[in-house]
Amino acid sequence: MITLVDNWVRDNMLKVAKYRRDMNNLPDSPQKTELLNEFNDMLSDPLGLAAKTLKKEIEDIIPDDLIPDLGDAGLKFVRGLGGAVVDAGVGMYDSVAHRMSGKSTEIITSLTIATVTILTVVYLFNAAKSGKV
Amino acid sequence: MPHEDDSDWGVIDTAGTWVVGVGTGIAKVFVPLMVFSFMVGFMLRLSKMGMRIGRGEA
Repeated sequence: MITLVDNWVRDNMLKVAKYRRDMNNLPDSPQKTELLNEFNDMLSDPLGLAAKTLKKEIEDIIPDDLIPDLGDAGLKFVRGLGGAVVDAGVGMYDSVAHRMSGKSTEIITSLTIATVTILTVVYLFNAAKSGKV
Repeated sequence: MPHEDDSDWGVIDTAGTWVVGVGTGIAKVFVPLMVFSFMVGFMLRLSKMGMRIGRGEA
């Protein structure tokens, strides 16, 4: 295990040295300076450089106006949701009321039949169970 | 014809609907429930008679 880590560290140090040598061999220019600075930054703060690179990549991929558009769409959805729920409830009420309009007597009859039947069945069951009327 | 829009007859109409509805419901279940009650009562009577005979009291 220690040998493995040793090899990994040595390989990467060799790679770093090779990259630095290649960069030093470049002709002098502002790009070379910038490249060397980035390389040194990467060696001193690899996580920070990764975060910076990731942020830049995300900014390149996602257009600037997409996130506000997404926010607007979410707000519109939330604003419309309440009205849609109320409309759905009103429509359901209207539908039920329309179906039951003029049949209130039948509905009350059905409720009475159900209530009386259930109560009688329970009473008879208890009477038969206890043997007392 | 319901008078739901007429405030003078609204309460009377509702009361009549409930009276007619409950009356119709009771009328519809009266005979079946009485028959079932007779059956249960007769079953209890027969059971008690059988127990009395079994105990040698009859």
